[in-house]
Amino acid sequence: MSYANEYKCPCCGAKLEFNSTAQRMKCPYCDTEFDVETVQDYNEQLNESMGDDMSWENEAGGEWEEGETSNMRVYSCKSCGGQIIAEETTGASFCPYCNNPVIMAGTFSGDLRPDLIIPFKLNKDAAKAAYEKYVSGKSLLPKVFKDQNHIDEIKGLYVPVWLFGAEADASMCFRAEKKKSWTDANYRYVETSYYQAVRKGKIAFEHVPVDGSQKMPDDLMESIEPFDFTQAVDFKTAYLSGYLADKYDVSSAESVERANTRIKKSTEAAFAATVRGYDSVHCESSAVKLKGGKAQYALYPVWILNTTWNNNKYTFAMNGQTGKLVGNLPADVGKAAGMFLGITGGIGVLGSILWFLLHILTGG
Amino acid sequence: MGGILLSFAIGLIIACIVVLPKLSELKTVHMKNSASDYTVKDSMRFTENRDTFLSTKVEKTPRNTQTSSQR
Repeated sequence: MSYANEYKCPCCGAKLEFNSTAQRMKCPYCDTEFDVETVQDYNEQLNESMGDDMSWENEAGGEWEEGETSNMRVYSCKSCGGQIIAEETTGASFCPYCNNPVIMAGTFSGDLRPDLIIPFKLNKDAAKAAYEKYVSGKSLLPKVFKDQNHIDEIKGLYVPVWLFGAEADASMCFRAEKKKSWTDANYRYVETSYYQAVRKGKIAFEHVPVDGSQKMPDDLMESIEPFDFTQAVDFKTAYLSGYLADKYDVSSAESVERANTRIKKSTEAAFAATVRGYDSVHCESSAVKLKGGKAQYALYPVWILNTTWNNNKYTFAMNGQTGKLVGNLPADVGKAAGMFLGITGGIGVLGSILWFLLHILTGG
Repeated sequence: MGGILLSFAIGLIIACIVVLPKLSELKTVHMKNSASDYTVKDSMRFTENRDTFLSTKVEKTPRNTQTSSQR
């Protein structure tokens, strides 16, 4: 059995949480604030003096089926001793018995340790406010969705991401055209001049993120980009306190293809943008080679909001750093069709009347 | 008759311009194909950057002067 880490308040002994507003660890009971480093050192010293081994065994319960527990781990809450059964990838959670924030020791150690983390800047209230703003002012959103809608769950989650950086060495060839036209008494002339534009060179990319979690939909993660990487800090488990966290279950080797696709597309767009002064430009050939590629493992802050309406689940995600919120909403199909027909019919009838009047006035 | 059809066609285009953006604002989840947010500033350097003229072609079409003179 593994033990789940908790960070105790040096003043009152309660469990500390990372406060996104103050960017420090804060005690929810005595409101005392501490630096992340101070708390980490204090708790490490505290743990060293803990000599008791509270693990024990009993023979109650049946045997697990083969493979049934391969993706599960059992942790023991240091506050109440309650057993927390979590997936192998879970890195931080809450004890279901005493609701204290816990960090699963070992999930983020050794090779699994993230290089960097962007701490949460926005709290749960900001996520609620962003959601309210997001669903307001959308005329084709069913009114009953807004009226009956209640957020089932809001959770702050650190999502594992791979950050790729590389220098793209590109060679591109474009066919470009310039057109000029004029007329004389009998003919219209169009002169087309053809050019070949060659662009060879380099462009560098850094921190291109790729979702490292199977549970987190890739499109949801990419929709809340970009994250401001300048605010990333060295990873410390104390930042996870009070949030959920998963370790990666998609490797960097499996993720690199997605980064390659995005880098190639942006390289081609950047090079094509330098072919200027023509009426039309077509790419004839393109070759992009990546050099000096490197990957980093990081945790990005995301607020996940879930709601259910008409037996359908709707998931929204908010960038925990910038506040950008995304999520697909249902459409009021009847209202959209009514609006479409109303505008078409209204303008059609009005235009027809004007045409008739014009026709009569001009005596046609 | 042509005027009526034209009016309804204009109405259809305006309805598309008004309604489609309202529908698209309900769908904000999509894959991001570009990595332009992650380009290193001023990192683009060309080793070869040239535009070469290839050829010119002139096409001439007779003007419809007969139609013009009738109006």
